[in-house]
Amino acid sequence: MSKIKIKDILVVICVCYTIISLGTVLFDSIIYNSYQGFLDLFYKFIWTVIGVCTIFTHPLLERLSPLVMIILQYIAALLLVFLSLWIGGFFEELHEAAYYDGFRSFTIIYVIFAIYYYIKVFIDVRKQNRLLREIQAVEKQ
Amino acid sequence: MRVRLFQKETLTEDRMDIYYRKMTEQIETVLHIVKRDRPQLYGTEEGEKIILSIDQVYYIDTVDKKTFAYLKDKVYQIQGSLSFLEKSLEDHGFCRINKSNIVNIYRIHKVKSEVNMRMKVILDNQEELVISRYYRKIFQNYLTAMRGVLHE
Repeated sequence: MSKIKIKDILVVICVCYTIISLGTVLFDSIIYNSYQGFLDLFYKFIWTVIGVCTIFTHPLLERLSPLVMIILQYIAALLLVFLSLWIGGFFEELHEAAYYDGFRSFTIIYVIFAIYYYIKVFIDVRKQNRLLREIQAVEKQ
Repeated sequence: MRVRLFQKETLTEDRMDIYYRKMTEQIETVLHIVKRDRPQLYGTEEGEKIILSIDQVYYIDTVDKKTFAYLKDKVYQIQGSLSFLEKSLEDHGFCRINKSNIVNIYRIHKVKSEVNMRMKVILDNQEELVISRYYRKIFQNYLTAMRGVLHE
């Protein structure tokens, strides 16, 4: 199976899983008149949307260094997460550690992302230097 | 002059070695014909046109819709847009690394990463150019293609 097909399948699986999960939990919530389960899942969905949308703003921040970009995206995403919690507070009582949980969840993901990006840059630099040395050696022969 | 021709289908590029005792007009003519294959650029300096061999060019820069060729310690204004030059010179070791620069990979001393995760190329004359995030992968793919080795 080609790589592109696996990618397409994974996208469809993710979309279907999201719709089915949200749909069934919402259905159960309506039947049993308890929205807690749905709201927990809905928050996760909203935070995922915030995270993905924030990451996809990177072409707009092309002028900035990657480190500054990651920090700005992190701050923006965290503010949006807090905003979603604040809005959610009007509809249900928030847990006293809700903001801390939101902060922790996003910080862990962004630190992992930043470390991955840093390692990738380091590996790319090594690879590019090796290729350059080889190309230049062939040219000198 | 004795001439021997070898055909080898496994070669990745055509190659010519010339052994000579003394440079003669005949050899110079051969060199001239062979070098015609490599494009040249017209550089302008104080209204005067100068032919630049692309081997001399370290990088090409564009400022205010004007294009400049940077040599070791000289700068010449040249004709053509950056995208035109990018396309025309891609087979000769020139690769776009950001919105306004095309670099000659044979003039790169090394690639380095900075603390802020920005990648830069350091040229043989110690000038530094930023590789933008958008062109990072393109630059790497270009090097891989120029190296011409399919496996890692």
